[in-house]
Formats: sequence, C-alpha cells, structure tokens
Amino acid sequence: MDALTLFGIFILLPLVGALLSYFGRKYAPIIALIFVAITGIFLYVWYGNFGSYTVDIGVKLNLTFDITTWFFMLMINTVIFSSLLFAVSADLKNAGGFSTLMLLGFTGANGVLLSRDFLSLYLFWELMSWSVYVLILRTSGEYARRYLLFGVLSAYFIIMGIGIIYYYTGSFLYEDALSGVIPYYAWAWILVFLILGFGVKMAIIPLHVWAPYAYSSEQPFVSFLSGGLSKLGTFGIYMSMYSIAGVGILDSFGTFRGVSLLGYPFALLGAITAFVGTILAIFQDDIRKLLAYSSIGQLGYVMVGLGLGTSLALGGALFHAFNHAFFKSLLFLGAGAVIYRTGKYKISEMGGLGYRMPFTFLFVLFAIFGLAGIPLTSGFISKWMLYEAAIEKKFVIIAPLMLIASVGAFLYSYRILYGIFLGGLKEEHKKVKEAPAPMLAAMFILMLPLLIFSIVPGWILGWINDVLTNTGLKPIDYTQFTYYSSIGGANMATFWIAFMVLFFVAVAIFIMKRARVVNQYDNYFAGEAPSSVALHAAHNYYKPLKDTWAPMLKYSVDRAYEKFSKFFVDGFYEIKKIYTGNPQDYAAYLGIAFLIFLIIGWWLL
Amino acid sequence: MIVDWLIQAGLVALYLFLAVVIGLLFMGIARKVTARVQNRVGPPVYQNFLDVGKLLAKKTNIKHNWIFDFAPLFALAGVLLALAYLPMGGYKMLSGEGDLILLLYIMAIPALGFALGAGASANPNAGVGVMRALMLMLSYEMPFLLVLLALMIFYNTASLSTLLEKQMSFAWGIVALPISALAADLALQGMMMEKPFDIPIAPHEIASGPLVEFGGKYLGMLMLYSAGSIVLETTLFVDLFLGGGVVLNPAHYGIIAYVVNYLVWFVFIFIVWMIAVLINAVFPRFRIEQAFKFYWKWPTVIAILGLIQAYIMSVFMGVVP
Repeated sequence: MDALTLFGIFILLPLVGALLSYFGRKYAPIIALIFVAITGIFLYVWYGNFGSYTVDIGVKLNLTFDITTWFFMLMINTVIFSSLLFAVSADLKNAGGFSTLMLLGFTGANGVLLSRDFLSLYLFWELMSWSVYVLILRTSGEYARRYLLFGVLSAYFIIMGIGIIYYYTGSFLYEDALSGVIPYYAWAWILVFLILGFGVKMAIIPLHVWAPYAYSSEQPFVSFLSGGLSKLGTFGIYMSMYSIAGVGILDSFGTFRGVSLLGYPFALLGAITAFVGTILAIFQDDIRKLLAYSSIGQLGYVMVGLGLGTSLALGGALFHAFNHAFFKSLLFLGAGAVIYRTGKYKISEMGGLGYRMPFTFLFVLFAIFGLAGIPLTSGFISKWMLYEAAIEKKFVIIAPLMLIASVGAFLYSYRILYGIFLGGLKEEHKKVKEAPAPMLAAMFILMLPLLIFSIVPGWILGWINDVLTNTGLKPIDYTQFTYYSSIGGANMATFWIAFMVLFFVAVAIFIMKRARVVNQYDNYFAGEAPSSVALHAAHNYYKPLKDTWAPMLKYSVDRAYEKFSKFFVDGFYEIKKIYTGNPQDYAAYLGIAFLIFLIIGWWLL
Repeated sequence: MIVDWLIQAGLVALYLFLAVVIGLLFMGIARKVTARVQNRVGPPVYQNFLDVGKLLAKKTNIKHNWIFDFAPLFALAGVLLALAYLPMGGYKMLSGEGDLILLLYIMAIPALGFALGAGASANPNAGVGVMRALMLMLSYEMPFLLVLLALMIFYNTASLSTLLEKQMSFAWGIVALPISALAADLALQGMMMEKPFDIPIAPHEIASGPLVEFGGKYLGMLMLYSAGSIVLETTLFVDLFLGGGVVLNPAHYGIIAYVVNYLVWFVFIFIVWMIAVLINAVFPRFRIEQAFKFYWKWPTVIAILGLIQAYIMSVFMGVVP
C-alpha cells in the first residue's frame, strides 16, 4: 500500500461514487451504497496494514492510516452505510443530489481522518462542512444559515490555531509541531482555538445552538450527521490534545490531581453540557429536537473524558463516541421510520405505534437501553468508564453532574417510548404498517455492535487500547469480559449469565398460567363506563417538572445569541437613519464635522 | 469443581428466595403496624403471602398486548439480579463481579421494564403514574448520588464487597459519615415510595398509577417484585452505612459468622424498614412538584454537606480507611 492507493480508495473512490450517483435518479442511494460498501471492505481487509506516507508537493503533506483513523472510519463507514440503506426506501426528493452530498461529506470525513497535516485537514474539513450545509439547505434555509454561522466560526477557530502553529514552525505537519519551537503560552492559544473549533462540531455548550435546527432535517442525513460527522469533532480534539500537543505540553500548564489545568475546564464544560442538554431534552415535544438535545448531552460526556485525559477517561470517551455513533443513528433512523409512516413529528400526536411497528419499536428500545446506559448494552460500559474516571480522581463537581444527567436520560427516553410507541393507538394510525425492509435492515445493523460489545467488551477495548498506546498513552485495564478502574470493576460474562438464568426463572413463573388478550381500550376507569375513551397522556408529559424548572428555563443561550445579533441589527438600523437623502442634511453633517475637526485640531495644536 | 459450583448456585437461590419471603413478610408487618398506629385492627401479618398465592393461581389473566408481558418478566428478573449483586448479611453472591455503579444501573432494569408494561395499556392513569415515578426518581437520585459519591471518595472504592471490608476494619459509614447517612435515609423514603412520596402509586388519585391495568399473575409477579425491592433498598442502606450487618468476621468464625451476620442484617433492615413505615403511617402525600422541590432543596443540601465532610476528611486530612 502507498499514499496513492490510500488516497484512491478512501478519497477518490467516494468522489467517483458521488459523481455517478448524481445521475442515478431513484437508484442513487443504492449506487452510493455500493461505493460505501467497497471502502468498507477495504477497511476490513487493511486492518493491521497500517502506514504513514509523507508527500512533498511544494509543501509537505502526510496521509496516515493507523488504528486511530481505522477506529473512527469504522464508525463513520457503518453509520453512513445504514443511513444510505435507510434512504433507499425513504422516497427522498432529488435522491441523486442527496446521495452525492452524503458521499461528499463522507469523502471529507475520510480525508479529515487520514490527514496528518493541517493543510489537507482544513481542505477536507471544509468539504465536509459545506456538504453538510447544502444538505441542511434541502430542508430549510433558516436552519442552514444557523449551521453556516457556527460552521464558519468553527473554521475560523481552526484556522487561527493552524496559523499560530505555522507561524512558529513553518510546516503543516502534525509531527513538526512538537519540535519545541512553540512557546507554551502559544500552545494555550493553539489548544483553546482548536478545541473550540472542533467543539462546534460536537455541539458543546455554548456552541450548540445550531444543533437542534440542523438535526431537524431529513432523518437519514441527520443520523449520519449526529452519529458520524460529530465524531470528527471528537477525533479533532483527541488528536490536537493528545497527539499534536501531547501529555507533556498539557501537563506544563500545571496539573490538578494528575489532570491538566487546560483539560479540566473543558471537562467541566462537558459535564455542564451533559446536564443542560439532558434537562432541555426532557421538555421537548418534537422528536427531532428531543434527539438533538439528547445528542448534545451525550457528546458532553465524551468531552468530559477528553478533558480529563487519563487513560480510563480517554478510553471511556472513545468508547462512548463509538456507542453514541450507533445508538443515536439508530434513534434518528427509528424516528425517521415513524415520521415516514405517520408524517408526524410531535410526540404527543403519536402513540401506540409499538403494536403496529413492533420491529422498529424493539430496535428503538434497544437503542434507548444504550442511551440510558442499561447494562444489557455496551452503552453502560462507556458511561461506567467515564464515571469511574471522574470518581477515582475525586472530582466532586463533574461526577454528580454526569450521574444526575444520566438519570435525566431515563426521563426523556421514556418520553420517546411512551409517547410514540406505547399508550393508546390513535384511530388514524390503526392502518399504519411496519417500516419497509431496508429501513429495518439499517436499524438492525446499527443494533448489533451495541449488543455484541456488551457481551464481549474485550474486543472493542482492545481496539481502544491500541488507539491509546498508538498515541503514546498508558493502556487501560481489561480482559475479554471484564474491565477495571483503580476503584472497581465489573464482569460482563457473569452479568449476562446471571441475567439469563434469572430471566428464565421469571419466565418459568410467568408461563404457568395463560393470559387472554383483550382490546386495548378495555380499561379500568373506576366504575365509569365511557363509550369510547382515547386518552393518551403524552401531551406536555413532564409539565410538573417544567413548572418547577420555569425560573431556570428563562435563561437561554439561544436567545442570548439572538439578543446579541438584534443589538447589532438595531444599531446598524439607527446608523442607517443618517442617510436621509436630503442634501441639506449632508451639508449640515459636513459643517458639523468641519467644526469638530477644527476644535480638535485647535486643541491639539 | 462442579459440586462447588452447584453449592454456590444453591446458596444464591436460597438467599434470593429468602429475600423475597422477607420482603413479603415486611409488607405484612407494615400493614399491621400502620393499622395499629392509625388505631385499626389491620390484616394478619401473613396476608401478603395469601395475596400472592391467590393472584398467581388465578385462572383468568388479562393482557392488552405483548409489550404488557415486559413488566412482570423484566421487573422480577431485574430485581432478583440486583439482589444477587448485593451482599446480604455479609454473604457476597456476585458483588465481587461488579461494583456500585453497575448495581445502580441494574436497579434501573426492573423499573424500566415495569414502566414499559405499564405504558403498554391505553389507560392514561398508567402514563401519569410512570411520569410521576420518573420525576420522583430524578428527585431522590440527586441527594442519593451525592451520598454514594461521598462514600466512594471517602472509602476510595466503588466495589461493595471492598466497602464492607473497609467498614469492618475502619468504621461503619454511619459513624464516619453521619450527615450523608441522614441524607441517604431521606432519599430512601422516596426510593421506597412511602408517604409522603407515594405519589406515583397514589391510590386515591390515579388508581394505583402504573399498576392500574395489571391483574392475576401479572399483579402477583409485580408484588413479588415490590417485595424484592423492599429488601433491595433497605439492604442497600444497611450495606452502605451499617457495615452490611457484618459483626463477626467470617474468616475467623466460619459458618457461625454467616448465621449471626444474617440475623444482625435482618434486624438492621427491619429497623430501616420500620423507620420508613412509621413515617409513612402519619404523613399525608406531597404533590410531585413539591417532592421535587423538597428533594433538590433540603436532602441535597445535607448530602452536599456530607460530601464536603467526606472530601475534607479524605483529601485534606488524609484519612485513609
């Protein structure tokens, strides 16, 4: 393998696919799917076949295919594959354009993951960012503008970080940054700019404002954006903190119980993001907005791990990013399937669909287990690693924020389950059919890793361990079925065996008597016998909680930005009033200006 | 090898069975005690055994759909699993195989299964009940998690069996961290859904909330679940703060230690349960938003004070249990 092969398979091939699928009409997602599958096969074949290639085309560029790249590519490849599989039967308008843009975003993502120099990083980052912009534009110009604003902000931050490095080293290569010519106060600026720039993609508060809007676009795309592309932010922060700068530079800012003082504020920001994102998600009635805030909250956990920077925390962050890629894509696809069948996206307008769409319900249920961190899925293990990382260092602000946020996750999880899939089935939904087979297949693919890595966490922890050691960090403590921190540990094999045995005990008691199925509306109503009661208690579900939180919900980052922009718009509007169009006014301005200059000049002389 | 393994499995089964029996007995005692406090006669102590037997033997069992079955299956399996991860009277079943945070999340499995089954009926009372239960969970978990954190940073372990050993060798949690113990007991009242926090099941308002549509074997299995969860929650408190009732070291005294510890553990969980029952007997019911405000105010403040105490002792004074 050489640089050209690498470039050809991971960059040029998706680009060719993008070109071809544009003319594919309604078969476009299938064409795109084939190209994604081919890169996926190469990803599988080339595992272990790693290498780094420097190319000199006037400036030195570097393409590297290592375990870190492979790990992130695995997520993004699987997520885009299932998103496109979902799109096959989603009847999108202009499917050709959709597939082309998805593959362009995929190319950009691959480029960002492969490049180990800032020039190609920036170019591919922009390719990814702009294809996302156009994909959001397909739904709404307003949403796209909000995304664009923050996308441009992110690009500015990144380019400022790159600029400072280039000013000192005169090279774009990552490895040259550590040559010792950059003074440590410049590193502080570089790292803050890079973390904030990549943090926009991860939607860290207060840079999250674009996310609830962008995530309201077409579901197959959003599942790729939230599941796949937001992990590029994780990758960027991971690389800039632990590969480009490295632990030595981070620790030179001073440490607090072994955690860099530069990393700690970002870990705290991540914990606050997890808490606020969760609380806001609880109050959403729009399924897309709920999932968007939930996504913000979950990536807050990842940020905590990246900020803390111990091996356990970083392992947890990478693992949680991996889990999030799968369960959040699955949730967005599940929501997409429901929206596709009912045409509604308000949770309170649905209900009872679990009996009509049982497979979608089961897949979404499993994803929610992962989201809430139930030990039946691998979602638990990554959260466990992050908690223990904070607790073993005795961080008494970060740990409770994370823990209470995960209790809050139960609340919004149940809102999804009850509001959409459980409760009373509405009259108009009695004829709703199960989602088409490609959609179910897409969701099934995403479900598998969550289950497998819960039973055998050793496999994925092995990859994560390779990523950490490849970056030059300490390994994590694990075996095939168990994982440990310095204060505890758990064995998944014992858990699964015990759960299975006890579940069969419950089943044994359960099947002793047969049960008869009655009509769903044959309910207990305290002696009253209403002829037809179709009450679904999902409207404004957590109202008491919302009332309690009302004084806090008054403050909003979203509105703060709007006020900020309104201030400038109003200010410019006032300034505009100077131009009255009356020559006499202009003459008066001239006279006043002349007087002012005269007075100032006289005073100066 | 196989024989050892079978003896282990048999012991685990015995302990789990006893836990459910103790739970049913406690429910009966609670009814009797509450009745005596309120100057009534009350049902006999063994009433709940009769109830469960009757419900499980019923011929007519009604369900609305297949998701309905999730409730009894997940609830019973989940609560038994959580009990298996909890040391009872110093006997460690699986507690060496997972730590406190795993236990915390296993405790969510029965609740989630129950909520799924309850939601599967079209009865709005069930939906409202689950909403209240989840909100109550968010309320009491705030002080409770802070308490757990105080314990974990003070004893510097997340493993329950290590926690028991350290309590035995150093000092019981209630002696070392009395403020946290108070906050934990306040949180326990909500966790066990006793008055003033029986909001989710409020029989006079929402017809027992999540339970409203269950009958026959469904209700019977859910009664077994609530019996198990009484023992689970009281034992959690005893394990965290009262050394799990371990007064004799099994390494020295062998089988006698297990029997004595089991009896001491039984007395301790009985005391913890009685405190909850006696509060339950005389209090009216909060509204859910009052419960939320209460928990995020006073117990949280107490728990934060306890956390500060643990933090100062562990970080600044260097106390290492």
